Amino acid sequence: MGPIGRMIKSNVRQYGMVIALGLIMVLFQVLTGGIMFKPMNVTNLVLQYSYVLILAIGMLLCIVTGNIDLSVGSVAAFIGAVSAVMMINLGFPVPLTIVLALAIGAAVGSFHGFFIAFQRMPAFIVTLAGMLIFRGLTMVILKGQTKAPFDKSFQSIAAGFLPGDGLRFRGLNLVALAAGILGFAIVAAAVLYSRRAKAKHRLEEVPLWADALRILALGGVVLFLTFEFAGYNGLPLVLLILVALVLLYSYVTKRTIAGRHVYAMGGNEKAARLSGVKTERVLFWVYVNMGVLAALAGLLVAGRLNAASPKAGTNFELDAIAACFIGGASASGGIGSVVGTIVGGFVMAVLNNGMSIMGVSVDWQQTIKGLVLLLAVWFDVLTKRKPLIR
Amino acid sequence: MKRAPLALCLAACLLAGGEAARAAPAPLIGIAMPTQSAQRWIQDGANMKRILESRGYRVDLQYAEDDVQAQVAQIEDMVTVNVRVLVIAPIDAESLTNVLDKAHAAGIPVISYDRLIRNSPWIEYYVTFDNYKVGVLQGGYIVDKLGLKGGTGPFNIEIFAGSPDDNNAGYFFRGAMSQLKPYMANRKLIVRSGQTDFEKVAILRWDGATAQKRMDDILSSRYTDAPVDVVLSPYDGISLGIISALKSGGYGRPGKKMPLVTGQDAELASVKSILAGEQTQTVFKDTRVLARRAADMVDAVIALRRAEVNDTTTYENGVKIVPSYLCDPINVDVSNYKAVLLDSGYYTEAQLSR
Repeated sequence: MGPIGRMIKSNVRQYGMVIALGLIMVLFQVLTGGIMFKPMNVTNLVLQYSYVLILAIGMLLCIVTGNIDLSVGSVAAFIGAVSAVMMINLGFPVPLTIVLALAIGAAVGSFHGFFIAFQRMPAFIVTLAGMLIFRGLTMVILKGQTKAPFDKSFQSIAAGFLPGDGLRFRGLNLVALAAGILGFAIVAAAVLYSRRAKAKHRLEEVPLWADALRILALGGVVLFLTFEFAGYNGLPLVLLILVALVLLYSYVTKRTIAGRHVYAMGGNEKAARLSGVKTERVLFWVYVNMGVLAALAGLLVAGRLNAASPKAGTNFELDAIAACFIGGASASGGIGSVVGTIVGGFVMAVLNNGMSIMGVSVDWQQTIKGLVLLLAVWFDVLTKRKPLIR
Repeated sequence: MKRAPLALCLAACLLAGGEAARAAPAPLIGIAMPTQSAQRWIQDGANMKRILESRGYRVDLQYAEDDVQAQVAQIEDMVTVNVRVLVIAPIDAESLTNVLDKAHAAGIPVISYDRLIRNSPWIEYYVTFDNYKVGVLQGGYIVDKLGLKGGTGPFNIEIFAGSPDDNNAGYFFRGAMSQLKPYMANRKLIVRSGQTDFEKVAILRWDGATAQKRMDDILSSRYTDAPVDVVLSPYDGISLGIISALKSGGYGRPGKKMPLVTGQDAELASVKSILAGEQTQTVFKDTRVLARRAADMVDAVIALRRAEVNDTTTYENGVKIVPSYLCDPINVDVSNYKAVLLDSGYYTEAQLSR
């Protein structure tokens, strides 16, 4: 088998999911009569589901360690409620509220982490307790009320766009276009850099045309998306947050010692511990991280709705968990990637969005999403059953 | 034994509770409410507790957090401690048949509060707001404000309904549609999304965020070349989500007028929204009136007299027609909020300005 064949085979899961996402999008583009790829709808897709993607990144780390976090929806609601009280009742300024909210998120995470990592209690139980505790506290704080409205600046974090909307060329937002070209350049540079690094270490090379194709495909997606955003209100702020998180966490999980420790621990906890990984500490920080990301998601959800509601965040944990597994994470730990999780999240998002545009009723939406989750993981199991040559 | 202290504490707590119960001989009224995650039920419960206690009863008030099994268990426990009367706002109207058989066997009369309990013959009275009329008020407000009777139009309208598992959601929807249907038929009101069936426009769990997504999707798919003029929303929480979607769609800025958006319950956040010129209307249901009516029924049942009712024909629960008292809902918008909400003491000026 040549290097290309090997590249495809070892990434069949990842590529399979990307292709599936593409197919689903094209399918809905046809079924909705061309509405799926309208600039406004693509923008909506990002605004509507950014919180799931953010939660899914944190959830991925929990799942990679072989655990789970069921409390994220409740924690998001709790943080939304706390920040509403801080801003509306106590009159705190927005930046202070955000800092405090993230700090409270970290505290909630370390609360879970303490019991899971240091007291060796099952994560399922601890976070199930957390789910009840923080949903309860949300109701205590809000007393059943919906708290609104928020300051403009707070709303714009979740619903706003990069400034510079006045600069348009043929109706396209120039800031977004510039970002797209920059993105394309970065993608090209990254692929070429990794090619050079491989050559330097005398690793097997794929032919130049394969890498060129990769640049065109990846960069093309970036250009296409920014073009879409340019056709509406420009780049959503929340997209920038999301891109920053994806880059950061991709780097951390792949290239840093801390990140590799997470995978080592999930792959084989005993072996990792005997190799000197402080598994308790790793696990603790994974949950602190989840708490912070859940807080961020809570702020975004409250900001977008422009209200803190006691019902916020219901079933968020399920969406985030589904995104991870559709994106190729393994329930037994040690396997999963940030990019895969984002793709998985978008599969769910596109399904929701497409069916909602078509006016499919809620009952069928749930049924179809359940089937997709089942099929995706089944596909995963089937491709893993045949041992792969690596 | 490691567990001894906990067990001791529990036993002590139980004893203390039992002691208190024995000390007070006044009749105990059991109140079962659906959830504490909506402001109105908290107020309903608190009002009724206050009124009943001022009339010399003791009150056992419990919320079941929208969990049907939990509510059944709570009612069973109330039967076990032998409350004198049960006042129940059911979570699932169909699932209390068995537990009410037990209540009847123990000689405990039942009053159905706000939502009608179905398929049980043991309901003495039903007290509620006229839910169909809530919808009629919402639909009628749209007809009046647009001047549809004067032949204006056509206008673009989108329609939202409440949670499909809530009996009342259907009443609201049918009431509103009874007013709007004629104008949809002669194309003075146009639903561009084409979604007018209850199943398609229903918002699960009355969730604002779900409504926001639906409105987003409708705006991006059907309203890129023309504005939406009216949105029928059954409940303030849903209206809030709709308005957030409208704002991110560019409505409420110069040149793109905010559409007429209805609502229900006069929740604080929505009254503020009305004052800010975003939401247009809400329907106010004074839960204090409802609580007082329920307390009157408790009095009557205990004194073995007939309670005052104003409807003995409409509310058939599958087994019998339940004598009902229907309280009147009231339209509220920016023109009359002072008189209705402030002068009645429902809200204070300070609450609205904060």
